[in-house]
Amino acid sequence: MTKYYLEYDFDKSRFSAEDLQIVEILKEAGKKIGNLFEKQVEDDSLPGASFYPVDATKKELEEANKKNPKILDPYTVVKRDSSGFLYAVPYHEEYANDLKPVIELLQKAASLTLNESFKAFLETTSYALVHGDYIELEKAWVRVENGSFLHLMIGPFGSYADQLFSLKKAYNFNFTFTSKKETFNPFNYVEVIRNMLPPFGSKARQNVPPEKIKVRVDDVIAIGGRNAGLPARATNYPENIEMIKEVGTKIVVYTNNIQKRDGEMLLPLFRDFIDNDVQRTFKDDFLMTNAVRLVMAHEVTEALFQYRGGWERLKGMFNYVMELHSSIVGIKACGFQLVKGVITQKDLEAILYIMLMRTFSDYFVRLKTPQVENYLTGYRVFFNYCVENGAIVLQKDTILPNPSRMYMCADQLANVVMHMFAEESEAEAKRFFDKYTSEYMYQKFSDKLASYKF
Amino acid sequence: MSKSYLTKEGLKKLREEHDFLVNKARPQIAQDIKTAIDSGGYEDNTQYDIELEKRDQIEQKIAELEDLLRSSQVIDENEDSKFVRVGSIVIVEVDGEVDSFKIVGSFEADPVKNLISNESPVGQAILGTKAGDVVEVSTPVVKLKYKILEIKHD
Repeated sequence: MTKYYLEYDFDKSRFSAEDLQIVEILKEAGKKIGNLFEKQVEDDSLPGASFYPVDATKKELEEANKKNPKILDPYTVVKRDSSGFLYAVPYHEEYANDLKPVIELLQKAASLTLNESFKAFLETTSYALVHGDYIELEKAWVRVENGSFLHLMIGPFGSYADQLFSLKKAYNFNFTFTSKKETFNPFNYVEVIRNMLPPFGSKARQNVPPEKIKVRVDDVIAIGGRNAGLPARATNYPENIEMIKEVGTKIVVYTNNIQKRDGEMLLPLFRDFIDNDVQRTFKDDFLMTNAVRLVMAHEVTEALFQYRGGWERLKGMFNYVMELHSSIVGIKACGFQLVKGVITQKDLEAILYIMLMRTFSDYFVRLKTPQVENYLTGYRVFFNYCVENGAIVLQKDTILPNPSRMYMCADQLANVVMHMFAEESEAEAKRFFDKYTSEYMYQKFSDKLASYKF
Repeated sequence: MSKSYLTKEGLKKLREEHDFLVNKARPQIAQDIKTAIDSGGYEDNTQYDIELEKRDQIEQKIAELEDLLRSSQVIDENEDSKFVRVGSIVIVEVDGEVDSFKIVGSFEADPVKNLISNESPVGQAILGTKAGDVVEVSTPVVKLKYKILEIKHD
């Protein structure tokens, strides 16, 4: 059994007989995607995992890419032949034998589902995986109507497993169904999200009509592949703005994962670390609502702020910059929502504290899943920037936050990171991150952190 | 109750919503309650409890709308003014960029459509200002400077 596959307990009462059959079929597909991902990251101690030959240097790969652009294509495996020549094999050829049973399972599920939209998705996805048509794969995923009770993401999505170039996509499997959890009711957020187009950053902010932003709030049935190591709070695709303009963008929020990472980890840490006079004025439900709001702000920002040539300039720093940018620009946008009366001051304070406390909650996630560092680095930047500017005071056992200064820090950092994303190089971004990613806070609170067993 | 502001369109919508609740929703919920009682009595009847809760929500909404109808002042959107008032479309510069929105009463506020409540922090700060003015929109957490570039009326 692969370690990259995880099943969740879920309430089966809303599932039809066909749905339950489909669940069992697609779970099998998830296990196979877990196995496939394991091949992709066979040697996960290497920054390039198994996407590139073990002995290939970054410079050598860049040089080879000048002659053969397939080398640095997101959907190829790079190999070296006996003469030392680097060549690229498309995923759908390299993993054809692994994908064959997955496709059969998808087609079997397609024959059972009574939902036309989900059926069309399963059929298109089967075809796209066989032929390596990843544009169609993403479009098919976005097009699934929210009326479909079951929902699936399957295929190469996300480049976090490639620490060398932040480029190669890894196989992923997120199988979910429409949530009925009231805390996560999408109607609480959709209108707010659609107003997440703030009056700043017009050079990068894309004019996507609100009706093209689709939001699903789902409970997870099973996850496999890349996300099994790091259960995502949410996801959004496509990444390409031209495709977003054509088919729209979709955000899927994963309730169980937010509950696990923010509800079960972040909340107790918030109660314990934040000054008592501050933390006791926030109820758990209120914090969770704003945890979801921060997730949404992050995802919408990620989808709608696009910078030309970002990856070519930032390369290995791309994912770090992008994740910090999404959270911090999302928070800046929340400030505009506050002055326009969309959210309250208390909401914004909660959002700031949640961002702060992720420095500690994801520290525990990192103990088991190093790839969370893509996000955690940005949380530490915010934390250290706040310390430097007196926005938080580290007391003996607790943290005293000043929300007004924290927002000022978020505003300044947002401007820095927007500029970084728009114009700076990998080396410049690295210099900035090196300055603000000290792990001092983990030593300062080491006794307290040691008392937690998550 | 403080005075609320409505455009003519907002007043029309408010009256329509009130009429719907009084003439359609209220009789319907009375019927639904009767049906629930007929099928399960008064005791340990979940459906009956649900319908009662719905009735309370409808009655509360009717009361809110009636309060609004009593206390609202309808604004004349055609009346020209050099100053920002409820009903003004305001073009502003904020954070180095241009934004525009219409100031409306809280009932009509819909930030997605750029309809901003006169009771929001930005609404409160810019009411009464004129083109060229710079105001600070200040909450305990967020402080933003808005420069009024232009004021328009429908």
